[in-house]
Parts: sequence; C-alpha cells; structure tokens
Amino acid sequence: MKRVVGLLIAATLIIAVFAGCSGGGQAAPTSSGQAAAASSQTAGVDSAKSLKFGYVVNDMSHEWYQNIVNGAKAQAEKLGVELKVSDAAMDVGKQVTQLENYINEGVDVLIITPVDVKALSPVMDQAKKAGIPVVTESNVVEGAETYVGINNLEGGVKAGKWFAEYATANNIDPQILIVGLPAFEDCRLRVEGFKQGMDEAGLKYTILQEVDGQGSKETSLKVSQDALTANPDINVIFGINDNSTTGGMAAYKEAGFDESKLTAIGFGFEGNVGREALLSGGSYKASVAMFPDYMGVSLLNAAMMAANGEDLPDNYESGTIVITNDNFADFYTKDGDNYTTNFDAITALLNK
Amino acid sequence: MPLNKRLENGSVSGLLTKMMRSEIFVLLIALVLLCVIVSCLSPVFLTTRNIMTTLRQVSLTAICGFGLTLIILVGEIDLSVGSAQAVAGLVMVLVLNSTGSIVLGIITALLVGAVYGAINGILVTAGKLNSLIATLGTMAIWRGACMVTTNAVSIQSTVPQFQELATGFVGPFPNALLMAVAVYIALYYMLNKTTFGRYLYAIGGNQEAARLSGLPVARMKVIVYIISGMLTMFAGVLLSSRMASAQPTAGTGFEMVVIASIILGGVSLSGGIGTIAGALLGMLILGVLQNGLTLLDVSSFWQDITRGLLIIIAVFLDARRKDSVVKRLLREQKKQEGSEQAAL
Repeated sequence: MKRVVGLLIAATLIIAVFAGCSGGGQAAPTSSGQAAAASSQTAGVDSAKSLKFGYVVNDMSHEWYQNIVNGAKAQAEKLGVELKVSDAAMDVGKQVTQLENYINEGVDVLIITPVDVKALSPVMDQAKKAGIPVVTESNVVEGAETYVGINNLEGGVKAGKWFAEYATANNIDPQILIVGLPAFEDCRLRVEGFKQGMDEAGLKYTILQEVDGQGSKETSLKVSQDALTANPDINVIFGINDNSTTGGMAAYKEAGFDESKLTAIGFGFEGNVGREALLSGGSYKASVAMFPDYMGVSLLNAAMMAANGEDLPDNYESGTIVITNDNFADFYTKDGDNYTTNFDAITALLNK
Repeated sequence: MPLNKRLENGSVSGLLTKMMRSEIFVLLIALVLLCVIVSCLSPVFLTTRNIMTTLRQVSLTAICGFGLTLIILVGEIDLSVGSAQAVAGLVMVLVLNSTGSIVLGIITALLVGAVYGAINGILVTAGKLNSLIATLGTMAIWRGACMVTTNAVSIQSTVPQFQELATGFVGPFPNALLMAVAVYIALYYMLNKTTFGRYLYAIGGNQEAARLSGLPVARMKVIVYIISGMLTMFAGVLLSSRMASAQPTAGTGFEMVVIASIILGGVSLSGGIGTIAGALLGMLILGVLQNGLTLLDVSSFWQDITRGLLIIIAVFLDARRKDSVVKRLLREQKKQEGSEQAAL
C-alpha cells in the first residue's frame, strides 16, 4: 500500500511540475480588472425583424470573458440586434449542446469562444447545413467566417516603437529584461513584436535576459530577482502581461535599485493591476491595451458583417493601443470606483 | 516489543542515527558542490546580495516545508499547502485593508491556518481517509474558494508598511530568514528533545505498534496538521507581503516543489525516517539550483526538465532507503527472535 502511495505521489509530482507551468499560462492573456456579474442568458433589444446572434462563451467565471461579453452586449444594443449569451463553463459537451440549441433556434450568426477547438467540427457542419455563419474569438476554427482577435505581434511592435521614441527623448541606454511566457505563442509574438518595433525605429538596445514568469506575479518576481542579480544594469522591463511587468518591478524594488531609473512596459492593461501601476506615476510608463470590452464590440461588428454576407478577412483584428499616463484619459472615463472604456475614441484612433 | 522501546534500544537507534548522519553529510557535500559549480560559472552567485535573496527565497519555502516535514514524518502528506498559501494571503490582505492592522491580519491568518490544519487532520484520522486523496480534495477546495471570493482578481494591499514584513532586513539578514531560523530551532528542539517529538517518529515508523503501545496516534496527527497549517499560513502571509497583494493563484504548484525537496533531504515518504536538518538541506539544494539556473540564463524549459529529473532521483532514493531499512530491521528481528527462542 505504502509503495503504491509512493508511486502515486511520484507520478503526481511529475505531472504537477508541468501542469504548474501551464496553469500559470492560463492566466496569461489577462490579469485583472473590474468584476462584472453577467447573467448567462440575456436578450437584447426587442425589435420585430431584428437579427439574433448566439454567443457561447468558454468560461464566464473569467473576468476577461465577462468584459468581452459586456462589450458585446453594449454593441448589440447599439446595433439593435438581439444577443443571446451562454456560458459553457469550460465543458466541451455543454458548449456543443448550447451551440446546437442556438442552431435549432435559428440564430443569424453563431459566435464562439471555443473550449476546445477540436471538439467543434461536428457542430460546425450542422451550422453550415443550417446556413448559419460562425465567428470565433481568438481561435482559428475550420469553417468559420473569421476569427476576431488581437494581433499580438503588432501590439508588440507598437510597444517597441513607443519605447524607442521614449528612450530617445529621455536619453535611456536600454538594458532590457523580458519577463515572458515562452510556452505560449501569443506571448512569444508580443516579445518578438517588441523587438521588431525597436529595430524598425532604429533604437540601439541590449536584451540582457529573457525569463519565464509564467504570467503570474509570484513567478515573475522570483525569476526577475535572479535575473536582476545576474544583470544589475537592467533599466527596462517588458512583461507579456501586467502581472509579469509588476512582478519584475517588485523584484527591482526589493533589490534596492533606484526605481526612478527604471522604465517598465506592460501588455494587456485590462484591469486594475496595470491601471494602478500606470496612474501611480511610478516606473510603469506604458502598456499595450487589449481592451477586452472592445473585443466584444469587434465580435459584434464582425458578426454583423457575416450576417449581411459581407466578405471578412481570415483574422478580424480587434485593436491595440499603447496607453500612457498622457493618453489614459482619452480612452477611460472614471465612473465611481470603476472605469468605463470609450469605444468611440478607440474606433476613431484605429480607423485613422 | 513496542517500537518506541525499540527505538531506545541501542543497536537500532544507533543504526538509524548513523545512517541519518551519513545522509546529511552526503547532502551537505552535494550542496557545497552545487555552490562551487554555480559560483565558477556565475561571478555574481557568491555576492552578499545574491546569497541573501536566495536565502530569503528558501526561507519562505522552509517555513512551510518544516511543518510539512512533520506531517511526512508521521506517515501522512498534505498536498493543499500551495492553495492554503493563497488563502493566507487573501485573509491577510482582506483583514489588513479593512482594519489597517498587520498584527490582526497575521493572527487571523494563523487562526484560519489552525482550522485548515485541523480539518485536514480530522479527515485523515477520524475520517480514515488516505491523506493523499483527502488533501488533494482540500487543495482543490481552497483554490476554488480563493477564485470564488476574488473572482480570480488579485487584491492590492493598501498598507505600504506590510511589504516590509517579508522584504525588510535586520542588519544584513532578511526578516524572512530570521523567522525561518526561529521556526527551525523550535521544531528541532521539539523533534529531538521532547517526548512528543520522539513519539512522532514512533508513529511514523509503525503506526499500529504505536497505537497498541498506547500513543494517542489520531490526536497527535491532528496536532501535527495544526502546527503545519499555521506555519503554512505564515509562509503565505510572507508571500503576500512580498507581492504587496493577495494573488488567488499564489502557491500554485508549490506543494510539489516543497515535497520534492523534503524527500530529497532524506525524509521518507512512508514516515518515521528523516530529520528537519535534512529537509532544510533538500530545500537549499533545490533553491540554489533554481537560483543558479536563472543566473546562468538557462531556458525555463530546461529548468523544468532538471526539476523533474531531481524529483525522480529523490523518489528513487526514497524507495532504496525504505528497502534497506526494512531489510535491516527484519534482520535485527530475526536475530532477536533467534536469541529469545534459544533462551526458552
């Protein structure tokens, strides 16, 4: 018996080492922000011959998706379409059932944030037979009209270009620490874009070390601490999300370096972690905002185009903008303790 | 002959202590070797700053790991230590933000820790559940509870002094290191100088024999879980202090790292064998390895592979150790039975 238990533990230990990494990864694209209670079924505007969209979300307990749904609902109201939302709660079977229900109900467009892309092909066939176009969020699914998502590379390029300008203006000789999450392609692209942006702007820089913060503040703090010991000249930190960047900043502070010499750049900016760091006026100078609620707006716009039979690109890009202390107020309005996003300002800037 | 008596018997206990001593010696050599290798490859490894930050890092692991060592010594396990740390941070920061008192926050967290330990202990003893499975359950429950209460959003501490708790220094020494040293001394004394401590080894060595010889096995196990629960929560408070916030994902995967280092330190998973000094050495080896690999800019993927290999080696050594001890005890027993029969 004891031997069996020993074996079991050994197996669990090994699995957990790797599961631990991917667990950290799930938090990667988001960090935090205002919480929103979203009901699982909501009807939009009632109009006689209005369009009806069905959106099955993978996981509504996740704040990132709550924000997407909030944005989508707001846009649905604006466009005058009915939007139905279901939460698959990370259950593949449930998601397929919910999608089938929407197909039977005869929605005009299906919107999906897949739980598991591989499980969707039968239901995609059903949608095709029923003549219902499908729009997906952040995942490529065979047979869908388009997928709506962030262009991570381009977001990184924007950050790189912004930083090149900032570094030149402030006479910074950039010695960079990258706090990444190399297991995820999206996150690798952010880093790649950042380098590309600096190269394009002709900035001279040195990347002293790239560490794996697994997207969590805890791990980012630990690994950045060692990186800062090995390379005390580091004066720039680029993190693939707000937790990675603030974790790196905490390590910098803990090491007793002069924080006024540090420039930190984040990616994501969807919650209060990044917002507080930016507005406090410390080392956190800029972040590539992904606007999850604007992603919801983009989803609805793409769905509208699909409903009207318009041609859609393979990837319908939802915008990213580099947010700094100077332009923060253009995109966010303070509303009590919360901030609301100004969609019009984003649309105006992106279409410029 | 009851086991606790046999432990006092010169030959058996002499054998055990000899083995432990030599094992600690081997670990010490391994640690020194590791340090020499890393310091040859990285010029900053031996700087005061790096030594102190590494020790601070290991201290957080150790405060929780010492408690867990007690649990493993009595032949049980606790997989929920990682999730419990997230709970600790949450309790701490919530109390801190609403009352502004760091002390009150720590006390509340420790009380919650005692309750958490008692729950695990009661499930394992009164509930007669396999501790591996029971704490696998509580691990998921605590993590889930953190996610539900925070909606997976971290909570910033509003009291800036809170950060000092784990990141501050007394002279050249990090606060966390001094706290870990204090815990070490207290537990070392308990394990080696009190009957309670010696009984823990007896329970781990042979639970049935310990029960038959009149030890309150169940009650002692619950107490051990409570001690460990409070230490785990304390480590969690320090972790949240370092991050100046409560992270609902804090301590994810922590249980595996700490269990691995304890086993590496020569504490047997089946209980009864091992020392707290060994556990400390195991944690130091894993801590230095992690620090060294990052200093040397080794890719995180290779770090995973290294850690995995180390875990396998640790469990392999554990299995070998158990075999040899069982064989030796059997040999002793046979010899004794032989002499008893001869006397008859």
